[in-house]
Amino acid sequence: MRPEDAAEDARAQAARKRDEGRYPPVGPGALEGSIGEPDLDDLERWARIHVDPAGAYSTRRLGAPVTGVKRLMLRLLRQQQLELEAQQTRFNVAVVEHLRRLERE
Amino acid sequence: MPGLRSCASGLTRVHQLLSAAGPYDAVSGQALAWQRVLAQRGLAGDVHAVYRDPRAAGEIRPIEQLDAAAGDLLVLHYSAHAPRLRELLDGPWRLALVHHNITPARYLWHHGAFAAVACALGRRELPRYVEAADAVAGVSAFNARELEAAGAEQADVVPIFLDPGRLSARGRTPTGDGPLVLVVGRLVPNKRHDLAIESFALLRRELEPRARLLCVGEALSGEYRELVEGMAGEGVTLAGGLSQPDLNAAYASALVLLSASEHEGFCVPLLEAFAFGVPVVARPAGGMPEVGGDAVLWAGEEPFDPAVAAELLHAAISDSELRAELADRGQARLEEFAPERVAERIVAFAERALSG
Repeated sequence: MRPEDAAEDARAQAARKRDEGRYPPVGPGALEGSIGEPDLDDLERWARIHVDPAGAYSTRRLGAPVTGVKRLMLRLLRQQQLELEAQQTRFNVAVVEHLRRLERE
Repeated sequence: MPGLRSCASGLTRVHQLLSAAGPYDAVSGQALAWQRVLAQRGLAGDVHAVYRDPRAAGEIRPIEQLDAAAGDLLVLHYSAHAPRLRELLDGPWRLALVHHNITPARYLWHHGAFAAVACALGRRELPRYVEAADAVAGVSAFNARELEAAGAEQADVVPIFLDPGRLSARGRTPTGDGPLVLVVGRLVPNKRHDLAIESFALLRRELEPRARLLCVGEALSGEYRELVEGMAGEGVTLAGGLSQPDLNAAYASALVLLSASEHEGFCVPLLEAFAFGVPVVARPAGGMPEVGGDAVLWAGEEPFDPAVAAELLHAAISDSELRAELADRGQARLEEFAPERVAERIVAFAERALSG
């Protein structure tokens, strides 16, 4: 088969087997629902900042001790991080509330 | 702003700049390739990145160590926003912008906060970079059109430099037997691994029950990897990032390369597959059609139909005449992107940026 004929042949085969019920209808794909611009509900969810310490890790080979040190430092600085998260969350929540008010008006 | 070196030596240096450098990403590889090509023409310099993965730190220096003088050329390989890069736009050096494309943020908002912000700001700020640059180029005509839409009067096209030497070393062969379908690209939403996995599942169920799917590429995050793992059925392996020798061994074992990607600035794996004589089934997204030309079996119509892709995969695996024809056409495409040709275009672009 020539490459030029392959696509047409594939479409014909797919259509025939779909008619026979062997292939499902064309769908958007499992990820489609999580692709797109954020809406106000997304913003509200993201407004509350909480940074998971599991996000601190090392990509180096044999990096486990480095990961341990990073997480220990986070624990030691937890007080500071909570304040940072709180200040950012306060701003975010206020902005989302403001956007909701604008949307209602 | 990094320190300004006096140009007492009179020698022009050309530095490559990146927003982020990783061990497997194509943009870092290009910055290093440009560095080698230009050094051979007497235009030596270093590669610097704002964010460096420790695994790439050997060859790539931090941006803080950039030592640039008036008259030097900074080649900014643009693929995302990074705060320190903007500071370099108004220096006394010459500036060349190479647009590798930026993933639209709509793919990332729900999956990775850092990447989403870097991409959203990167796209928003592209016109500012275009305005500041002395010369601009895209790695494909698709990218060049984006530069022109961002305000460039004329954008060159300087394709990706594929060094055939790096394809020779062989690492570990993927385990298992049965026809191997390969997907190469970061595990990120725009690559649409969900559709690739769905196509493979139909292939395996209807046409090639022993087929295997190997997805090679670093995941956006652990959480995103788990999400894709949840979609992967029997016969699917998510290998993560592979060293070049291990990737070469995977290409050498593969019967077909599959891409369901929705957004690509160039797509290096197409050229790599051609170099190994591996047929390609792909969606004609972004810069891919101009790279793959008539050497790819395009799953052409939107929306992407996994059933059509499965049939094309089957043809690419089982039809020897088709495989031979695609291999010949792949070699012809490689000629278009021969390293000596691309090297000439890199040098010409750098010279234009220095003189322009």
